[in-house]
Amino acid sequence: MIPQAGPPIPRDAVSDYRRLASALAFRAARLGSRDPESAAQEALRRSLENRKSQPAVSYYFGEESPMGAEPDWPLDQLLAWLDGVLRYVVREEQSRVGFRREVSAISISEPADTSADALAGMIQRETQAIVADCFATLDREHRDVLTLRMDGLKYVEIARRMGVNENTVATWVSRGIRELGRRIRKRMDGGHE
Amino acid sequence: MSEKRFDRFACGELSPAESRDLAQQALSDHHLFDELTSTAIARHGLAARRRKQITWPRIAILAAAAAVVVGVVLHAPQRNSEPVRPDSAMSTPPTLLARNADSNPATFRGLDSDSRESRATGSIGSIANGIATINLGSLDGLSKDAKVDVIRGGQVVGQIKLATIFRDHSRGELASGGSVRVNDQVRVSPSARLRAILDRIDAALARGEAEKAVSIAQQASIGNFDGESFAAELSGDQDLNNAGVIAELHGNPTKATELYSRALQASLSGHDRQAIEKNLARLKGAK
Repeated sequence: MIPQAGPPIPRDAVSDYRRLASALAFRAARLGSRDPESAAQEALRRSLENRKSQPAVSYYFGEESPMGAEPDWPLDQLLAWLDGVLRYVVREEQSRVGFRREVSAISISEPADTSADALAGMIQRETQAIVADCFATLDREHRDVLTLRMDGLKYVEIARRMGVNENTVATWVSRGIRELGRRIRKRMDGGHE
Repeated sequence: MSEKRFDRFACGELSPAESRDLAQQALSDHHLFDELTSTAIARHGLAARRRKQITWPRIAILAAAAAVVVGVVLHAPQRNSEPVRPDSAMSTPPTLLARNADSNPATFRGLDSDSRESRATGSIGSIANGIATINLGSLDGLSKDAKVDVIRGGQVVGQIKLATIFRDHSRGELASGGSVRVNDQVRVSPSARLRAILDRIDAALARGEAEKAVSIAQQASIGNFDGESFAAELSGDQDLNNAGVIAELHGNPTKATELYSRALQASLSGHDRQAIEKNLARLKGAK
């Protein structure tokens, strides 16, 4: 069980994010949860209790236009976090009900230290392992261009090196990441899209 | 939602306000939420591999660390020969500079430490319709329109003009030499070789491995430093400075002085200028 990292939140705070809870429930069902709504509520509650994720949840998914400063986390970091917490909650649920199905095909050990930082570290490691596995299955061109991007080259430099124009590089980068995302989804869903 | 917008999200180019719009849209479309999440995991997982963004203080730390290591390397042999003059200009070791980091937060930098070494020679893997594929690529300093010599039995038998460059292989037209065959050896030009070495130095600095960067500079097998074409294509002050360090470490102070001077002319950053001026002053003081 993950201890609360931030101050207790009002009981109705989760209900302020009904649409987000619904989207998470949809995803929890795909992850194999028997009670996707409860899993979504629990994942959302834990994210609202976390000092780092709470401002991002509020900014991106709040019903009303944000009044405060922009959050430290970009949207992709928040979505990766929400998904990681949701997977953790679903695994907890499956443990409780006495069955355990491989959700991500990656062997995950429960963190000995159950602090929020430990959870973040575990999610990060799990995400990296899945990404590394799926990255290796990408087409050569996508892997090459994403690797050059990871090497820090700008589009114009990649274009020069690969002998293509800059727009082509931009297209390859976005398609490569999206294709990687599709493979990750397929992998996490146990093969079905 | 437009594909273009999704592509911009995939590339990390949306502003926070645009991201909020997209997030709000996804709340009404669970499939979009699902696809955004998968793409976010891909982006986030890749971003975790990027090198730590280099800030100027970090560059200063890296440069200082490199300087210390170079100092140790330069002075170690002298312990057994003659004492180092403490007031000598040479008591200040040469400083390697990291290239300016990309300000785009979506950028990933740093050649993996498990990347294979750059190579000066490779071979032709296949030839089809006048297009040859070779097992050398950007890792080896190659770029579009570069020409590589084809060698057989120690003789140049042709050239390939490269059109498409990948990380570890390339494709290009046979520019000359009708007898070029699969398995013939190919050799990169000294300038490409130098570029590959500078890339490795920069990647090592980016990972915080100053000692490794110095080691790469020391072990660089460049060939002739005196040729006019050596480093002629370089323009960035960091690369020119680091090429100067390589020349200096290989006992060519004249070439090093020339490269440091060019680096100084190309330098726009105060921090870089200080380091380059120090390198130059030390060499001049040693003459």
